[in-house]
This record gives sequence, structure tokens and C-alpha cells, in this order.
Amino acid sequence: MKLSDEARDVLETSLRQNRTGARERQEIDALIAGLPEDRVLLYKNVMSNPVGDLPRYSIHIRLQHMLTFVTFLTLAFTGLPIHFTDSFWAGPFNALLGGVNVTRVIHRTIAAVMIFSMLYHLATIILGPLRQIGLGKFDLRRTILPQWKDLRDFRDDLLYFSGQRPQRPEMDKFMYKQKIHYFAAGFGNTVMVVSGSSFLFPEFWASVLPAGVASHWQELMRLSHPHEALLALLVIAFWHWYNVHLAPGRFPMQWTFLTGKITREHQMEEHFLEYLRNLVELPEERRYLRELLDSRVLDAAARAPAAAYGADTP
Amino acid sequence: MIRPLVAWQKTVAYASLAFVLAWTVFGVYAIWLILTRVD
Repeated sequence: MKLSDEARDVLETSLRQNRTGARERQEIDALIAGLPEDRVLLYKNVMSNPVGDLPRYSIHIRLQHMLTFVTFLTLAFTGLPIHFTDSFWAGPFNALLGGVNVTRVIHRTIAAVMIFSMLYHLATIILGPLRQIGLGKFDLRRTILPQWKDLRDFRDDLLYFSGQRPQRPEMDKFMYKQKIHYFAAGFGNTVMVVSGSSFLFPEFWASVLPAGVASHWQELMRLSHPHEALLALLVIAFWHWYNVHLAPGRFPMQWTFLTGKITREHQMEEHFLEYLRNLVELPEERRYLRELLDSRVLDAAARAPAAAYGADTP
Repeated sequence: MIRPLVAWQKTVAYASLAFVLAWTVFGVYAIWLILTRVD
């Protein structure tokens, strides 16, 4: 495989940051040279453990995801009977918990846990890169911050899915779709916290807002809170859960949120640039790839194209 | 090629999927409630 200039640059940066020796460099170059140009052929024929092969998320990120997961569901579940207090089903639900006032207390308590999770995440995304900078291993392309490349990747992915391009683009650790989702979630959380706090502390907001704005602000927040919740429900149910449960290659569930690991197949398909870093950082991954190339499995697959792309590919 | 799931992995994965689908039904109901609310 001949690497693109972009991929070569990512690889060279990783080699430099990891102070990779000449012998290992040669080994990595030889492995990449032995890979087929057709990346679909490659990722459809590697062996993957369904619960994950390669590191992706730290324990902190997994804990934050779990906190978001639990607080989001609980907040939605308790928020609805508070918002629709007069509905026929809200009465019995609130009564089950001890009355609507108890539902409110639960909702606010869980909201406090969600805010803690946000602060925990902020600490992680600030301290993590600082540590990487200190170690001389920071690479902006490896973060979730949007880059111009994401626009090109988006265009190229559309071309691939409409049959105009033979392969998906070489994307980094976080692809354009994940970046949109992440910042949408960040925006949504902020709206929910600000609007929720406006209900709890109206005097505070009246004291910091210009005179005459406070009542309009409360109106705006009363509209924002349930409608942002509605938007979040839509995004979670029809976007996020499709991508991590139902999408081909992920069904019935992607395990990364539990194990912190991604499958080799997925990494090669959607995060090829990160896979190149894995080759630099993980000697065991180089061993796997060497064994795969020596076994001639890819050569055999290339000669039998009907079977080469796996049974799930038309 | 992704190795097939073993029994406990199938249990976790499909239980999680069932939960997600049930929640989606609940989500659709919640959306219907919000959109049909007359203030």
C-alpha cells in the first residue's frame, strides 16, 4: 500500500513522538508496503474480537459515558411526568415515586450528577492533552476538535456511499460524524443546565441579566428545556443508537463503551490514520499484521473477489 | 471477519439492544406528547 501524503505525515509524526528506532521503522514500512491498496479487502479479511482489539477510550471517558447514559435516561424519564403533570399517566407515575415533589427532587439530584459528569469531562479534556504535551506526544489531529480535513472526509464519504469512490476516506481517531455528535451533545447539555438552573435560581438570573430581560429569559428557558430534551431524545434514539447498535458491522452492539477497545476491522475502516499510530505504538499489532501477510490470506482473498469482501457485502 | 459472539456476549448485546429499542418506543411516545401538547 502506498500511503497518501496525509497518512504518511501522521505516521511520521507518530514515529517521531514515540522515538521509534530504525529497526522498528523498517518493520513498519515493510508491513505497510505489504498491505493491499484496496483497504476494503484488508479490513474485511482481518480477524477481529467482537469486544475489541485496539485501545480507544480511557477508563475516565468510559465512566463519563456511563454517567451520561444513566443520567440522560433518568432525567428524561423523570422530566416527562414533571412537564406533563396533568396527563393521565403522570399522576400514577408520580404517586409511585411519592408525589410530583419527589419526582422533582430526583430530577434535580440526577441533574447535579450530570453536571458533575460534565465537569469531570472538562477536567479530562484539559488535563489529558496537557499530559500529552508534557510527554511530547500531543497531536491535534488525534483530538475531537474539528479540522478542515473533516469537510473533505465528509465529501469523500458521501462519494463512497453514492458509488463514486472506491474506498472510504482515511479518517482519524474521531471522524466528522462523531465530532458533530460530540459538539451537539455539548451544546445540548449546556442548554439543559442553563435552562434548568433558570427554573431553580430565577433570582440569580434576574440579578445578572439586564433589566427587562429576565422575564423574556424565563420564557425562552421554559421553551428551551423540553424542546432541547426532545431533540436529545431524537438524536439518541435515531442517530446514536443506530450507529452503535444497528449499523452493519456494529450489530448487535459496539462494545467500546464497556471495554474501551475498538475492533481491528472498524479501526481500519473508519479510523485508518489511528490504525497507523497503533502500528507504531503496539508491537503485538505489528506481529498480528506480519502473521496475516505471511499467511497469504489477503492474496487468496484478492483472487476470489466474490468472497473477499465478506458475506454481508452485496 | 469478526469472531461470533459467545453466549454471555450475546446475552449482554441483545439485552442491550432490546433495551434500546424499548427506549426508542418510549422516545417516540415522548415526542408525540410534546408535539401534540396544546398550551
